[in-house]
Amino acid sequence: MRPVIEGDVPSFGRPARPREYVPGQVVVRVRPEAVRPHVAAPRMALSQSVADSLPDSIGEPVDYLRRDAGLKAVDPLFSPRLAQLRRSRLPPAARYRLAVAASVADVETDDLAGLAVASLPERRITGDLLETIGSSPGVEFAERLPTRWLEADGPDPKQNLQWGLRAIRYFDARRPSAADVRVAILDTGIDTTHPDLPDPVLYRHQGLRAQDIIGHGSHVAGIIAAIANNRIGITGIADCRLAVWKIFPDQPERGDFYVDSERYLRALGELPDEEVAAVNLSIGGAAHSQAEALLFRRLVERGVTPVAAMGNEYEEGNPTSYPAAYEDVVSVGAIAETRRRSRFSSTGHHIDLVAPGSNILSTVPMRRSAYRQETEYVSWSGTSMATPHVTAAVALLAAAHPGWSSAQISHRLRGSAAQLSAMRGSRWTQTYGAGLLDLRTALS
Amino acid sequence: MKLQVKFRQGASHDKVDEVLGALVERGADDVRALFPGSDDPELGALYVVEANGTSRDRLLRVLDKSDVVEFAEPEARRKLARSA
Repeated sequence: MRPVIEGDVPSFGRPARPREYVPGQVVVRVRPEAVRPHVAAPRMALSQSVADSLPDSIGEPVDYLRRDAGLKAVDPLFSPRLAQLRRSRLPPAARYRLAVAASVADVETDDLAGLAVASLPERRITGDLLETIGSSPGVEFAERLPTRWLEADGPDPKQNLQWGLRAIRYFDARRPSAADVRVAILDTGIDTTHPDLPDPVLYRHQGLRAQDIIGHGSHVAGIIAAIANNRIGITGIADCRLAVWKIFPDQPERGDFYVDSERYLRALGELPDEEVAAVNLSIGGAAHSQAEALLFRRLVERGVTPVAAMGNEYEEGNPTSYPAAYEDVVSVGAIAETRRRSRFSSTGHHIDLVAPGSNILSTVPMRRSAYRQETEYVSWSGTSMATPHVTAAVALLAAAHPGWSSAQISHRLRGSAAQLSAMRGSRWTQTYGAGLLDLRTALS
Repeated sequence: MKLQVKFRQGASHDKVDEVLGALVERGADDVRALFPGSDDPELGALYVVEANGTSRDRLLRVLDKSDVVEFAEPEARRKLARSA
């Protein structure tokens, strides 16, 4: 996980007068062997009793920084639970101790374990202070944070081409870490060799070739979760974990790619067992299915939020598309950069909201295939591309509100959507639903 | 061509086997559980009928007549929602 240092604001270019150290920040490494006997790795409880159980060789230097040096925060560098720690209602003394413990307990490899960044008033960081902390038997070293650490990551070079991020107010939103949240993608697969895509925690290609021949699934995956601030390509909306089911055989029928219905329905049945918070369905068709509706009802009952595309057939009679039209499915239409409906985006009484869906830049597999000439990154259009914007928002909401039901999450998505001028003052329309996905308001 | 079938919860194995056998007699190529081995009664009641050489309506009539069938329907086709 990328460490969060001095906020999460991308910096562009080098500062005019480069600093040697990051002001107000100290990196501390505690000895993993001093912590491990006292915590239940890999998922220690974030509780007062665990904080109290830490040995003096760990607790005392933390308490010293808090008591005598104005300690303001401790962020474990490689723990995925940074957001949880920051939200904890425990007293600061316990929270800081737990952050240090999490820097060990949440990290499997000893090479990276025990690293945490302490935030202090700049004037309190002295050689004496670093020496005092570093001399504790539980601490391997304490040193000022060199500025080059900030340069280890940085803005993604194609981010300025992602108009959709600006439209949904990604940069203005207080985004929690979604590293503990699983999102399912039922699609054409994923390119596991793409350097800008996270490794899926689960990839079921169900007897089909593992490669994403078509590229659609990799494109959806990039919109949701392309690795942010790695100086490569694009920025995904949520740092969630991906669970991928390949449900498309690689052969088109009369120019269209259709799902393998058995693989698709089986995947829907398996989702709740895989503890996913959301499922992205950038697919659709005109026929209602009782079997499919049954499986969607089960998903929602089990806490999975389904997000589905409204369909691209507006100019072909604007048929109702399923699964978007099932009750309790979050149905997503597409808008263009003009903030008006994408010409293809279907409309209807079941639409929940809209998201960017025209000319959306995202990842595609690194190698060409018979059905796709583009590699690495390409801009595609469709309600397929709007849907993952909303799915990623569900992941962020699930991270911010772990106890929320699917109904609460979809209610928040609709309630926080931004009204568009094309809605002419209406709170809801069949074209735009409740309006445009607004991450800032949704997460505020 | 495929059909999706759900038997009513509580339908006896004998009754289910009877219906599945009738489908094969009337030309179904294969009948199989959608979630084989599932101990969830709802998922375990879902079946797929594959029939390429016979009339869909003929098989649906068999299913519609049975009192242990909750529903039977042709598979619903789903395609990518990417714009051309």
